[in-house]
Amino acid sequence: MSTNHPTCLGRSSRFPIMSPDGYLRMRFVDLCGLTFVHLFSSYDETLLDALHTEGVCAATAGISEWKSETDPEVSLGWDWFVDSSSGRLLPVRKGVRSNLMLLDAKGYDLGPGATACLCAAWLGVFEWQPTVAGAVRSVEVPVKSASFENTGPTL
Amino acid sequence: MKTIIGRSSDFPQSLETALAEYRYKIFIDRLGWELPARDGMERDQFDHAGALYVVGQEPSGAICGCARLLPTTAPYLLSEIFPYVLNGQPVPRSPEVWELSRFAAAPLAVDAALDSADNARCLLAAAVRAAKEHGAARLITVSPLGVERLLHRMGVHAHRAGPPVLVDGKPVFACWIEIDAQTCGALGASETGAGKRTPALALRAFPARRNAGLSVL
Repeated sequence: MSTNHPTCLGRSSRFPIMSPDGYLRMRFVDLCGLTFVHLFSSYDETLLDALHTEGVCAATAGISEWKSETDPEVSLGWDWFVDSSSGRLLPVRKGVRSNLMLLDAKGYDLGPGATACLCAAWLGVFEWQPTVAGAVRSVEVPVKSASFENTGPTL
Repeated sequence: MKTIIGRSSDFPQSLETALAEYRYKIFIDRLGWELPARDGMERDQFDHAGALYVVGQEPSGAICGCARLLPTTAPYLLSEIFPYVLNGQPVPRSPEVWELSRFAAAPLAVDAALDSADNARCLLAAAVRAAKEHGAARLITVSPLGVERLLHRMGVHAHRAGPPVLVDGKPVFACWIEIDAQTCGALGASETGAGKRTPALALRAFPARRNAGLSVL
Protein backbone atom coordinates (compact mmCIF):
# COMPACT_ATOMS: atom_id res chain seq x y z
CA MET A 1 0.00 0.00 0.00
CA SER A 2 1.65 3.23 -1.14
CA THR A 3 1.59 6.40 0.91
CA ASN A 4 0.14 8.06 -2.17
CA HIS A 5 -2.96 5.92 -2.09
CA PRO A 6 -5.12 6.44 0.97
CA THR A 7 -6.61 3.42 2.63
CA CYS A 8 -10.36 3.55 2.15
CA LEU A 9 -11.42 3.10 5.74
CA GLY A 10 -14.44 5.29 5.56
CA ARG A 11 -15.64 5.68 9.10
CA SER A 12 -13.29 4.43 11.76
CA SER A 13 -12.73 0.67 11.50
CA ARG A 14 -12.40 -1.43 14.64
CA PHE A 15 -10.27 -4.02 12.94
CA PRO A 16 -6.78 -3.67 11.43
CA ILE A 17 -6.51 -4.08 7.69
CA MET A 18 -3.79 -6.43 6.44
CA SER A 19 -1.97 -4.92 3.48
CA PRO A 20 0.09 -6.76 0.85
CA ASP A 21 3.28 -5.27 2.29
CA GLY A 22 2.67 -6.93 5.64
CA TYR A 23 1.69 -3.81 7.54
CA LEU A 24 -1.56 -3.69 9.46
CA ARG A 25 -3.11 -0.32 8.74
CA MET A 26 -5.40 1.54 11.08
CA ARG A 27 -5.89 4.91 12.69
CA PHE A 28 -4.47 5.82 16.07
CA VAL A 29 -7.97 6.10 17.52
CA ASP A 30 -8.56 2.47 16.55
CA LEU A 31 -5.32 1.37 18.19
CA CYS A 32 -6.52 2.99 21.41
CA GLY A 33 -9.67 0.91 21.26
CA LEU A 34 -7.96 -2.47 20.99
CA THR A 35 -7.52 -5.01 23.76
CA PHE A 36 -4.03 -6.42 24.08
CA VAL A 37 -2.91 -9.74 25.52
CA HIS A 38 0.48 -10.13 27.17
CA LEU A 39 2.66 -12.75 25.47
CA PHE A 40 5.83 -12.62 27.52
CA SER A 41 8.32 -10.32 29.17
CA SER A 42 11.90 -10.98 30.08
CA TYR A 43 15.09 -9.36 31.25
CA ASP A 44 17.68 -8.35 28.69
CA GLU A 45 21.20 -7.84 30.01
CA THR A 46 22.48 -6.68 26.63
CA LEU A 47 19.85 -3.94 26.59
CA LEU A 48 20.82 -3.00 30.16
CA ASP A 49 24.47 -2.68 29.13
CA ALA A 50 23.45 -0.50 26.20
CA LEU A 51 21.36 1.76 28.42
CA HIS A 52 24.25 2.20 30.85
CA THR A 53 26.50 3.10 27.94
CA GLU A 54 23.99 5.79 27.04
CA GLY A 55 24.05 7.12 30.58
CA VAL A 56 20.62 5.83 31.54
CA CYS A 57 20.41 4.96 35.25
CA ALA A 58 18.65 1.64 34.85
CA ALA A 59 18.55 -1.00 37.56
CA THR A 60 17.23 -3.66 35.19
CA ALA A 61 15.93 -3.73 31.62
CA GLY A 62 14.10 -6.07 29.32
CA ILE A 63 11.54 -6.61 26.62
CA SER A 64 7.80 -7.13 26.58
CA GLU A 65 5.62 -8.57 23.84
CA TRP A 66 1.86 -8.19 23.40
CA LYS A 67 -0.70 -8.93 20.71
CA SER A 68 -4.23 -7.72 20.05
CA GLU A 69 -7.37 -9.80 20.25
CA THR A 70 -8.14 -9.25 16.58
CA ASP A 71 -7.71 -11.16 13.36
CA PRO A 72 -5.19 -10.38 12.04
CA GLU A 73 -3.26 -9.72 15.24
CA VAL A 74 -1.52 -6.46 15.96
CA SER A 75 1.90 -7.23 17.39
CA LEU A 76 3.51 -4.71 19.74
CA GLY A 77 6.81 -5.11 21.52
CA TRP A 78 8.90 -2.66 23.44
CA ASP A 79 12.02 -2.29 25.52
CA TRP A 80 11.62 -1.25 29.14
CA PHE A 81 13.82 -0.45 32.10
CA VAL A 82 13.50 0.10 35.83
CA ASP A 83 14.72 3.56 36.76
CA SER A 84 17.35 3.25 39.49
CA SER A 85 16.26 6.27 41.48
CA SER A 86 12.47 6.01 41.34
CA GLY A 87 12.06 2.28 40.84
CA ARG A 88 9.50 3.00 38.14
CA LEU A 89 9.08 0.76 35.13
CA LEU A 90 9.52 2.95 32.05
CA PRO A 91 9.56 2.37 28.29
CA VAL A 92 12.88 2.88 26.51
CA ARG A 93 12.83 5.79 24.10
CA LYS A 94 12.54 4.63 20.50
CA GLY A 95 12.14 1.09 21.73
CA VAL A 96 8.67 0.29 20.40
CA ARG A 97 8.32 -2.18 17.54
CA SER A 98 5.18 -3.36 15.76
CA ASN A 99 3.56 -4.57 12.56
CA LEU A 100 1.47 -1.39 12.43
CA MET A 101 1.30 1.45 9.96
CA LEU A 102 -0.89 4.17 11.39
CA LEU A 103 -2.88 6.41 9.08
CA ASP A 104 -3.75 10.07 9.13
CA ALA A 105 -7.30 11.39 8.96
CA LYS A 106 -7.30 11.12 5.19
CA GLY A 107 -6.05 7.54 5.20
CA TYR A 108 -2.46 8.18 4.19
CA ASP A 109 0.45 6.40 5.84
CA LEU A 110 2.03 8.32 8.67
CA GLY A 111 5.25 6.40 8.08
CA PRO A 112 7.31 4.10 10.31
CA GLY A 113 8.78 6.88 12.43
CA ALA A 114 5.53 8.66 13.23
CA THR A 115 3.82 5.32 13.81
CA ALA A 116 6.46 4.35 16.35
CA CYS A 117 6.12 7.71 18.08
CA LEU A 118 2.35 7.33 18.37
CA CYS A 119 2.71 3.78 19.65
CA ALA A 120 5.10 5.11 22.28
CA ALA A 121 2.50 7.73 23.20
CA TRP A 122 -0.10 5.00 23.48
CA LEU A 123 2.21 3.18 25.89
CA GLY A 124 1.99 6.21 28.14
CA VAL A 125 -1.67 5.53 28.82
CA PHE A 126 -1.66 1.75 28.60
CA GLU A 127 -1.35 0.02 31.99
CA TRP A 128 1.35 -2.51 31.13
CA GLN A 129 3.64 -2.08 34.09
CA PRO A 130 1.90 -4.38 36.60
CA THR A 131 1.76 -7.21 34.10
CA VAL A 132 5.40 -6.88 33.13
CA ALA A 133 6.54 -6.53 36.74
CA GLY A 134 4.64 -9.69 37.63
CA ALA A 135 5.98 -11.59 34.63
CA VAL A 136 9.65 -10.87 35.32
CA ARG A 137 9.32 -11.37 39.07
CA SER A 138 9.37 -15.10 38.47
CA VAL A 139 12.66 -14.83 36.57
CA GLU A 140 15.31 -15.27 39.24
CA VAL A 141 18.42 -14.27 37.40
CA PRO A 142 18.59 -11.81 34.52
CA VAL A 143 20.15 -13.54 31.55
CA LYS A 144 21.99 -12.26 28.54
CA SER A 145 19.86 -11.95 25.46
CA ALA A 146 20.80 -14.07 22.48
CA SER A 147 24.47 -13.81 21.74
CA PHE A 148 25.57 -11.47 19.00
CA GLU A 149 23.00 -8.83 19.86
CA ASN A 150 24.83 -6.45 17.59
CA THR A 151 25.56 -8.93 14.85
CA GLY A 152 22.30 -10.66 13.99
CA PRO A 153 21.82 -13.49 13.66
CA THR A 154 18.93 -14.69 11.54
CA LEU A 155 17.84 -18.30 11.30
CA MET B 1 35.88 -6.43 6.67
CA LYS B 2 35.80 -7.43 3.02
CA THR B 3 32.65 -9.03 1.64
CA ILE B 4 32.48 -11.60 -1.12
CA ILE B 5 29.27 -12.46 -2.94
CA GLY B 6 28.55 -15.47 -5.08
CA ARG B 7 27.01 -18.89 -5.37
CA SER B 8 28.80 -21.95 -4.01
CA SER B 9 29.81 -22.89 -7.54
CA ASP B 10 31.64 -19.58 -7.77
CA PHE B 11 33.69 -20.19 -4.64
CA PRO B 12 36.93 -22.11 -4.32
CA GLN B 13 36.29 -25.34 -2.44
CA SER B 14 38.37 -24.01 0.45
CA LEU B 15 36.07 -21.02 0.86
CA GLU B 16 32.92 -23.10 0.67
CA THR B 17 34.31 -25.44 3.32
CA ALA B 18 35.44 -22.55 5.52
CA LEU B 19 31.97 -21.04 5.27
CA ALA B 20 30.32 -24.28 6.36
CA GLU B 21 32.77 -24.57 9.25
CA TYR B 22 32.15 -20.95 10.27
CA ARG B 23 28.41 -21.55 10.27
CA TYR B 24 28.89 -24.61 12.45
CA LYS B 25 30.98 -22.71 14.97
CA ILE B 26 28.57 -19.79 15.14
CA PHE B 27 25.11 -21.27 14.85
CA ILE B 28 25.66 -24.66 16.46
CA ASP B 29 28.62 -24.24 18.83
CA ARG B 30 27.99 -20.72 20.10
CA LEU B 31 24.26 -20.27 19.67
CA GLY B 32 23.30 -23.87 20.34
CA TRP B 33 20.89 -24.13 17.44
CA GLU B 34 19.77 -27.58 16.40
CA LEU B 35 20.82 -27.66 12.77
CA PRO B 36 21.98 -30.41 10.43
CA ALA B 37 25.75 -30.82 10.63
CA ARG B 38 28.47 -33.25 9.67
CA ASP B 39 32.20 -33.24 10.26
CA GLY B 40 32.11 -29.82 11.89
CA MET B 41 30.26 -28.19 9.00
CA GLU B 42 26.72 -26.79 8.87
CA ARG B 43 24.68 -27.06 5.70
CA ASP B 44 20.99 -27.64 5.16
CA GLN B 45 18.64 -28.47 2.29
CA PHE B 46 18.52 -24.84 1.23
CA ASP B 47 22.25 -24.70 0.48
CA HIS B 48 21.67 -25.45 -3.17
CA ALA B 49 22.65 -24.05 -6.54
CA GLY B 50 20.11 -21.24 -6.30
CA ALA B 51 21.45 -19.86 -3.03
CA LEU B 52 23.48 -16.69 -3.03
CA TYR B 53 26.05 -16.16 -0.30
CA VAL B 54 27.65 -13.12 1.26
CA VAL B 55 30.86 -13.89 3.09
CA GLY B 56 32.67 -11.41 5.32
CA GLN B 57 36.41 -11.80 5.71
CA GLU B 58 38.95 -10.24 8.03
CA PRO B 59 42.15 -8.89 6.49
CA SER B 60 43.74 -12.22 7.41
CA GLY B 61 41.21 -14.05 5.26
CA ALA B 62 39.39 -15.56 8.23
CA ILE B 63 35.62 -15.55 7.85
CA CYS B 64 33.92 -13.11 10.20
CA GLY B 65 30.42 -12.98 8.80
CA CYS B 66 28.02 -14.72 6.50
CA ALA B 67 24.57 -14.43 4.98
CA ARG B 68 22.51 -16.52 2.63
CA LEU B 69 19.96 -15.20 0.14
CA LEU B 70 17.29 -17.50 -1.26
CA PRO B 71 14.70 -16.67 -3.93
CA THR B 72 11.16 -17.13 -2.69
CA THR B 73 10.13 -18.55 -6.05
CA ALA B 74 11.51 -21.88 -4.82
CA PRO B 75 11.20 -23.59 -1.40
CA TYR B 76 12.98 -21.64 1.31
CA LEU B 77 13.46 -21.73 5.06
CA LEU B 78 10.40 -19.72 6.04
CA SER B 79 8.10 -21.34 3.49
CA GLU B 80 9.01 -24.88 4.46
CA ILE B 81 9.91 -24.66 8.15
CA PHE B 82 8.39 -21.49 9.65
CA PRO B 83 5.28 -20.47 7.69
CA TYR B 84 3.38 -20.03 10.98
CA VAL B 85 5.36 -16.94 11.91
CA LEU B 86 3.63 -15.00 9.15
CA ASN B 87 0.53 -14.26 11.22
CA GLY B 88 -1.81 -15.85 8.71
CA GLN B 89 -0.36 -14.10 5.70
CA PRO B 90 0.38 -16.15 2.59
CA VAL B 91 3.97 -17.28 2.21
CA PRO B 92 5.73 -14.86 -0.15
CA ARG B 93 6.45 -16.26 -3.59
CA SER B 94 7.77 -13.52 -5.78
CA PRO B 95 10.89 -12.71 -7.77
CA GLU B 96 10.90 -9.41 -5.88
CA VAL B 97 11.13 -11.09 -2.47
CA TRP B 98 14.26 -12.89 -1.30
CA GLU B 99 14.87 -14.55 2.03
CA LEU B 100 17.82 -13.54 4.15
CA SER B 101 19.01 -16.42 6.34
CA ARG B 102 22.10 -17.66 8.18
CA PHE B 103 23.09 -14.04 8.83
CA ALA B 104 25.78 -13.51 11.42
CA ALA B 105 28.59 -10.98 11.70
CA ALA B 106 31.03 -12.08 14.38
CA PRO B 107 34.69 -13.07 14.27
CA LEU B 108 35.63 -16.50 15.57
CA ALA B 109 38.67 -15.19 17.40
CA VAL B 110 37.68 -13.61 20.71
CA ASP B 111 40.48 -11.06 20.44
CA ALA B 112 39.64 -9.97 16.91
CA ALA B 113 39.83 -6.21 16.59
CA LEU B 114 36.58 -5.80 14.70
CA ASP B 115 33.58 -3.65 15.46
CA SER B 116 30.75 -6.17 15.44
CA ALA B 117 28.01 -3.62 14.88
CA ASP B 118 29.94 -2.04 12.02
CA ASN B 119 30.52 -5.46 10.52
CA ALA B 120 26.84 -6.29 10.73
CA ARG B 121 25.99 -3.08 8.88
CA CYS B 122 28.60 -3.81 6.21
CA LEU B 123 27.41 -7.37 5.76
CA LEU B 124 23.77 -6.37 5.55
CA ALA B 125 24.61 -3.65 3.05
CA ALA B 126 26.32 -6.21 0.84
CA ALA B 127 23.36 -8.56 1.16
CA VAL B 128 20.93 -5.80 0.23
CA ARG B 129 22.99 -4.82 -2.80
CA ALA B 130 23.24 -8.42 -3.93
CA ALA B 131 19.53 -8.99 -3.49
CA LYS B 132 18.72 -5.82 -5.42
CA GLU B 133 20.93 -6.90 -8.28
CA HIS B 134 18.82 -10.04 -8.50
CA GLY B 135 15.55 -8.20 -8.65
CA ALA B 136 14.62 -8.04 -4.98
CA ALA B 137 12.53 -5.15 -3.67
CA ARG B 138 12.27 -6.62 -0.15
CA LEU B 139 13.77 -9.26 2.06
CA ILE B 140 12.03 -11.58 4.50
CA THR B 141 13.86 -13.17 7.37
CA VAL B 142 13.09 -15.29 10.43
CA SER B 143 15.09 -13.96 13.34
CA PRO B 144 15.46 -13.75 17.10
CA LEU B 145 13.89 -10.61 18.53
CA GLY B 146 17.20 -8.85 19.03
CA VAL B 147 17.61 -8.52 15.28
CA GLU B 148 14.65 -6.16 15.11
CA ARG B 149 16.30 -3.77 17.56
CA LEU B 150 19.55 -4.04 15.62
CA LEU B 151 17.87 -3.19 12.33
CA HIS B 152 16.04 -0.22 13.81
CA ARG B 153 19.29 1.06 15.30
CA MET B 154 20.80 0.91 11.86
CA GLY B 155 17.93 2.96 10.48
CA VAL B 156 16.81 0.16 8.18
CA HIS B 157 13.16 0.09 7.12
CA ALA B 158 12.25 -3.16 8.83
CA HIS B 159 8.94 -4.30 10.27
CA ARG B 160 7.62 -7.48 11.78
CA ALA B 161 5.05 -9.63 10.01
CA GLY B 162 3.33 -10.62 13.23
CA PRO B 163 3.75 -11.57 16.88
CA PRO B 164 6.86 -13.54 17.80
CA VAL B 165 6.51 -17.27 18.35
CA LEU B 166 8.58 -19.60 20.48
CA VAL B 167 10.98 -21.89 18.65
CA ASP B 168 12.97 -24.18 20.93
CA GLY B 169 11.92 -21.95 23.78
CA LYS B 170 13.23 -18.75 22.21
CA PRO B 171 11.07 -16.06 20.58
CA VAL B 172 11.53 -15.61 16.85
CA PHE B 173 9.61 -13.55 14.35
CA ALA B 174 9.30 -12.92 10.63
CA CYS B 175 10.80 -9.60 9.63
CA TRP B 176 10.38 -7.65 6.44
CA ILE B 177 13.29 -5.54 5.26
CA GLU B 178 12.22 -3.05 2.61
CA ILE B 179 14.92 -2.36 0.04
CA ASP B 180 13.98 1.29 -0.33
CA ALA B 181 15.60 4.67 -0.02
CA GLN B 182 15.52 4.54 3.76
CA THR B 183 17.26 1.18 3.94
CA CYS B 184 19.77 1.89 1.21
CA GLY B 185 20.56 5.26 2.74
CA ALA B 186 20.99 3.80 6.21
CA LEU B 187 23.32 1.09 4.96
CA GLY B 188 25.14 3.08 2.34
CA ALA B 189 23.94 0.52 -0.22
CA SER B 190 23.79 2.62 -3.38
CA GLU B 191 20.59 2.54 -5.42
CA THR B 192 21.87 1.53 -8.85
CA GLY B 193 18.47 0.99 -10.40
CA ALA B 194 15.95 -1.20 -8.71
CA GLY B 195 15.48 -4.63 -10.16
CA LYS B 196 18.48 -4.72 -12.45
CA ARG B 197 20.13 -8.11 -12.64
CA THR B 198 23.84 -8.59 -13.01
CA PRO B 199 24.45 -11.11 -15.78
CA ALA B 200 26.52 -14.14 -14.85
CA LEU B 201 27.19 -13.21 -11.28
CA ALA B 202 30.78 -14.05 -10.51
CA LEU B 203 32.88 -13.80 -7.40
CA ARG B 204 32.97 -10.12 -6.52
CA ALA B 205 34.41 -8.34 -3.56
CA PHE B 206 32.95 -5.30 -1.82
CA PRO B 207 35.30 -3.40 0.46
CA ALA B 208 33.96 -2.59 3.90
CA ARG B 209 32.62 0.91 4.36
CA ARG B 210 33.57 3.01 7.34
CA ASN B 211 30.53 4.03 9.31
CA ALA B 212 29.83 6.62 11.96
CA GLY B 213 29.12 5.39 15.45
CA LEU B 214 25.77 3.77 15.95
CA SER B 215 23.19 5.15 18.32
CA VAL B 216 22.00 2.52 20.70
CA LEU B 217 18.55 3.82 21.47
